[in-house]
Amino acid sequence: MDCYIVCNTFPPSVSNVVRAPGLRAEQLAHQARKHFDRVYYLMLKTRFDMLSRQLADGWNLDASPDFIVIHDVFLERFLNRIPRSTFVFTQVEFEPFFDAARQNHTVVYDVLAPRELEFEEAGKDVDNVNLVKYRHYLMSERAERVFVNGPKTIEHYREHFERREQVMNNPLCPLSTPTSPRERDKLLFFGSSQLWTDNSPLLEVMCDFLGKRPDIVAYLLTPEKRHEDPESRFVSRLSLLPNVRIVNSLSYTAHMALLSQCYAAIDWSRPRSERPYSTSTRMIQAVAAGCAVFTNVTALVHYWRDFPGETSDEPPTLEKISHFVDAARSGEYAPALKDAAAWNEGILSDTALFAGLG
Amino acid sequence: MNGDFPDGSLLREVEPPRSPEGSEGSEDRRVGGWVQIGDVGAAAGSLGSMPSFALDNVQMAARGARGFVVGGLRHVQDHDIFLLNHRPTVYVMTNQVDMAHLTMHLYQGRLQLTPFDRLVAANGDEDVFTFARPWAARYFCSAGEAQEFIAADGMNGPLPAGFAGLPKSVYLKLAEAMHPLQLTPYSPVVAATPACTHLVGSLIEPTKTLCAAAEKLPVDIHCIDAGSIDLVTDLDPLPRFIIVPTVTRAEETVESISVRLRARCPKPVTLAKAMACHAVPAGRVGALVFEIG
Repeated sequence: MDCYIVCNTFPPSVSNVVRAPGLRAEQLAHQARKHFDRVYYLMLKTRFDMLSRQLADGWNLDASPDFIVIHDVFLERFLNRIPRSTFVFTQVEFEPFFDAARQNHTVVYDVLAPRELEFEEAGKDVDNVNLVKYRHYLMSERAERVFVNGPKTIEHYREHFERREQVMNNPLCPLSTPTSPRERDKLLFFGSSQLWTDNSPLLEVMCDFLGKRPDIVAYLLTPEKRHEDPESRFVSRLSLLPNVRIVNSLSYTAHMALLSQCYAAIDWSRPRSERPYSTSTRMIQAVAAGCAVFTNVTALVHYWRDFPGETSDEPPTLEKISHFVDAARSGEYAPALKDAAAWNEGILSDTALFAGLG
Repeated sequence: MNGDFPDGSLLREVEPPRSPEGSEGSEDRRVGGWVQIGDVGAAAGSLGSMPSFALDNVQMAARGARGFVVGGLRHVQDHDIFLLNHRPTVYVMTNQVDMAHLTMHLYQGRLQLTPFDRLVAANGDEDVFTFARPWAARYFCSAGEAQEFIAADGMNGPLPAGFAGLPKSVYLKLAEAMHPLQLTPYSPVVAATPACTHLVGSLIEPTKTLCAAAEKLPVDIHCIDAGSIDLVTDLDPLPRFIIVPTVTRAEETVESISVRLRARCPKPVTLAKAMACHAVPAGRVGALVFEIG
């Protein structure tokens, strides 16, 4: 039997621009391969066209034998023609496709994040939010099996899920493992990347901290900030420090290579209603690459047995940051990071998720 | 433009009017030499003597000058910045604010860094500028090297075959053609062969790039001159793009370059763009963009 992972962003084997759903697709494909004859990534043509237009006129894509693009018009014919297979859907936006697929095939619904909370934070109107809630309800009711990213999200949807037997915890976990040991001499910290997140308290503290500690070399990874953005004044201050390198964004391979040179990664945003449920991809990737992390109290605290770093819902202070950076530099979090690597390995080799579907 | 006539034959021999600030201590005001604009701080002694002008007198300094040495870039007006594009220029960086202004002018497209430009740290320590902006390291040189650069009228760096003797305006045209391409939606990690080191600023907007060697990151875009295609050793892992700046001519055609590149890469190589910006008797000056994978 074959398995199709329905993608809404490109997996790392296809593109160098990888977002959380792309990483999730790669993780699911890896977990499914033990149970199926063949695992494919499947993308609809409309989605493919939209994404490839964003990627500088359709360049930057690799051909991959496992990556299939199906024209929306031929979707029904495709679903009727292929032998019975398993389809995994990560996004609620695929609900019409999900409904068509479940006529002849096994369908799995994968919950990566509470989408309606993201919509609310992004200021979408109430109809959109309600539509997302409704689609989530339909998909979780009708799916053969439901995967959920972490216990915090399971708790959030407790009412939906309490009638379901086949709800399985499957935390987001990148496939990449720590690279060969290399001198870790850099500190990485982040500016906000979403419209509804604000990292200015962190950037303000980092201005003071890095100004006083020229011995620390740091990379700031942040989208370009315009003058009206409250973070821009701190980014300007940081740009004048000789020990701070500011980068807008990196390709997936360069990002992972940079993480392998860092001993710590810091990402702290003002707490909002969506933040406690967030499983920050930045932080998950950092831990997978062997970096200690400093972040908000998010769903990640339920991930690893011993958190490899510090969490705080209070705005970071100079003392907190100094203590964390010095502890990370001296290797204080190394046992917790080793433990997290073993935990990640356990997630990726979990055979219970797709058992009985292949 | 002076750059189009290297012998300076079209330059008028005129005495520029005296500037109240810049006239002090400058005896040699012959037109056709290099001029100093603004205060270059500690580097003044090592760059050689030349007429000096105040920063508010850039228009006057530009008359007939063969090249500029600019100190205090932060005080130069935006409309004066365009003038600096048209002569070989040595930018003396006195502090981080100067560096931030250079970045801003490059980012906003007013200024281009070409093989006719060099950066010098006023205090002799370029490391304080190049950690935060490793792309600038390609253009930084010592005061002694800058003096040689001035003596050679800005034509002493390694360049790909066929590029020697081209005026600065050609590199500006190359930058105008190449910068809007925006090959990657992220900041690319760039590597370059020695002959292309000073050409990177004309091929890709430099402030958005990371430096593969300095930052030890896998390469996204590799700039390779046609003569080095068979010699380059660091193509593993393969970059996403290879840019070949070249003068296409009978003995070095687009096809011959493509065939040689395909022989070096285990993945499919596709010619994504061929940009030609200037005609010379031997052929066309431009750059070929190959996509890998």
